Amino acid sequence: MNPTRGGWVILLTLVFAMLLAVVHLPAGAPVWLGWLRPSWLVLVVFYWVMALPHRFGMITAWITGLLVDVLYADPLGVNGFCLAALTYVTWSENHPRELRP
Amino acid sequence: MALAIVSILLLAVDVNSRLLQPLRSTLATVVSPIFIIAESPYRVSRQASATLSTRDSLIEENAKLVRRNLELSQIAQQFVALREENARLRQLLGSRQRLGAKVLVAELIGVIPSPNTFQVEIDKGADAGVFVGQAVIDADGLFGQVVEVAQFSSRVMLVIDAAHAVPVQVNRNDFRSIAAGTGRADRLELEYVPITADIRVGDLLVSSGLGGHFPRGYPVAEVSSVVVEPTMTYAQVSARPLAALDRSRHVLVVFDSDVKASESAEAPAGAPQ
Repeated sequence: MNPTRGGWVILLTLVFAMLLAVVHLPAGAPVWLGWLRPSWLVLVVFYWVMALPHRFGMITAWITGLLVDVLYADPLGVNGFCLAALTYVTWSENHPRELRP
Repeated sequence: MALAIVSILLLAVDVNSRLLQPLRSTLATVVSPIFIIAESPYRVSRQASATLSTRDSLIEENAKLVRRNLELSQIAQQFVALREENARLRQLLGSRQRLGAKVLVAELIGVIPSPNTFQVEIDKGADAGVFVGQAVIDADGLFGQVVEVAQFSSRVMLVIDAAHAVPVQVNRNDFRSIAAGTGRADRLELEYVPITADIRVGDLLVSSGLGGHFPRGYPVAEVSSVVVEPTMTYAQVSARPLAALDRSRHVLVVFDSDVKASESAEAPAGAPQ
């Protein structure tokens, strides 16, 4: 990710997804609203891997996952591993030729 | 592949030891603004409602606070006399005087949105002198302990977290036990209570200070049920935490000189058992 060439858009969406992941609903909100909450970060990672596979690789996904680990107080590496694996799967489904020359 | 290996290594090290604490706190410093931004709409709305509140409601609130202040200062007067008396008696007994603990007021800036753990984020960190293992209280009782310190914020594990335990004693008869979190809100469990122990519903549990982690004498919970089965070795005692764990907005971080002295000797652990 090179910040001088529009990489900040990716960064901004990632930060925004993290924001949506930790923001809490107001006290009066109905409970079912919480069940409808998607996993924003996974969606954003999905999108960037499919849209810009040459910019958003496994390393970026892994570092994002590390930050999520700290955000969610999970053991370091769990979300990093998951997001990197997700990136790998998405990538190989999307660009089979690049992986098997 | 390499990432998978690094992940698994990190996982193994992080679960089994506290070597990665510096890395965690660096990353936490990076992500803590996210909590602050996520909380900001609520902060703005609270400030707006405070600014726009009517004159009548302010007058009413002021009168209420004045009354409350009077009540509290009356209690504090008694407290001063009692403290003097206590210090004199302790001197007579030849035991060490208990020092008044210093506290630091901190504000909640976020709740960790994870179903496995009960942790919150507060707005004081290493720059305010907060360290790992410090007890955190609120107006009603023991709230939790600091488990992770970033530069400008820190994480507090609540007493109801399943990985948390605090040494307590029954206020009525000084019976000692350990109050462990259950991972469910509003419920602590006392461990290893013999069925013959004198413990009743409604008993107040205060921190005993025995583990060296928590300062002594802060209320922790109230016994809510005692189940004694003659065939079992231990009684099942559950208690309701007194701190307003889901409502408190301001908490106090306790700087206890006793605790700090013993902190360097032992490794800070999540569950002081």
